[in-house]
Amino acid sequence: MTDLSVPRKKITIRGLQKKMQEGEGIVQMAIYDYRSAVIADRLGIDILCVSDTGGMVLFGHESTVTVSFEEVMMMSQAVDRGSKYGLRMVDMPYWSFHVSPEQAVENAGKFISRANAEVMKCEGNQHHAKNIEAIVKAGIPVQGHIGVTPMRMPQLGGFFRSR
Amino acid sequence: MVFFAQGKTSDRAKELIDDAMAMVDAGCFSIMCEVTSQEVCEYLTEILPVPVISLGAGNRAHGVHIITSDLFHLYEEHTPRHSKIYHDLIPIMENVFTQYRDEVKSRVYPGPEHTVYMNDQEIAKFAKEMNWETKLAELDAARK
Repeated sequence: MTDLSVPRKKITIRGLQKKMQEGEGIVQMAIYDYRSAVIADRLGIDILCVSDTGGMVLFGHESTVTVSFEEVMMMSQAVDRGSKYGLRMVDMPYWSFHVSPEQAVENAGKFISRANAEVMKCEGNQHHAKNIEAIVKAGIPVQGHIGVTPMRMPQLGGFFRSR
Repeated sequence: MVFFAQGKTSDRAKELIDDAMAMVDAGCFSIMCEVTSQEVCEYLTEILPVPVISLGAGNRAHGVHIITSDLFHLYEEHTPRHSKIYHDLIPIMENVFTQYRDEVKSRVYPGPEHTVYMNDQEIAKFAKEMNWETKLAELDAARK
């Protein structure tokens, strides 16, 4: 059991680096509602990632590409209201950072100013790197997401189940 | 949606490594590997200066990511291979919704313990003042 009476430290990027060096597993969860945020934060989850997957689970989207900016914003605000210690990360929604460095910075900033997010997560590859770099240079940390990147499913050879 | 795991060939693995390196060069504080072969994630964990997080990419990274709903089977439409259902909430929800539905139909819920009443004196006064015949008849019947 987690001892809830012991004061805890806010999770920071520096804290994550320390865990990495000391070999302590970093616990990251996709969280997209207030109650899950409260419980995860109470139990010491390191990174609360507001995932666009929440748009599938909560709102019934068939994939993440149709989950809207405002839906991700609402989930981000809910998670912010429910958490104190965990690092608050937002999975930037489809086409919110792909167009240009300016668009990427503009939209990342909205998650900070409107949802009190601390860091972003961006699906990306070599081609998106300059937009991601612009976000980082503007002062917003980013976790890069590679491998199966659901926003690029057709190129990766995945497919959607027919209705 | 059906996913295909990435980085099962050496050539594709090298592309993914290049993607990750490009993002670290862009200043990323961490890299998440989603459903790559474990070897891609393990290699990145060894060479990158930032924490690497695995989502369905094996157990050699600095950290692990999971989607909350996958812990509880809340996205019935698809359960990825890497997700572990720690507790299936679907039968529990079905059971509770069924009980509620049946208790409403059979008039079991809400019971007296879930209900607020006026005291006897106020009921009598209210029924009389409103000329509420069904309630007056009920109070009369109770007195007999």
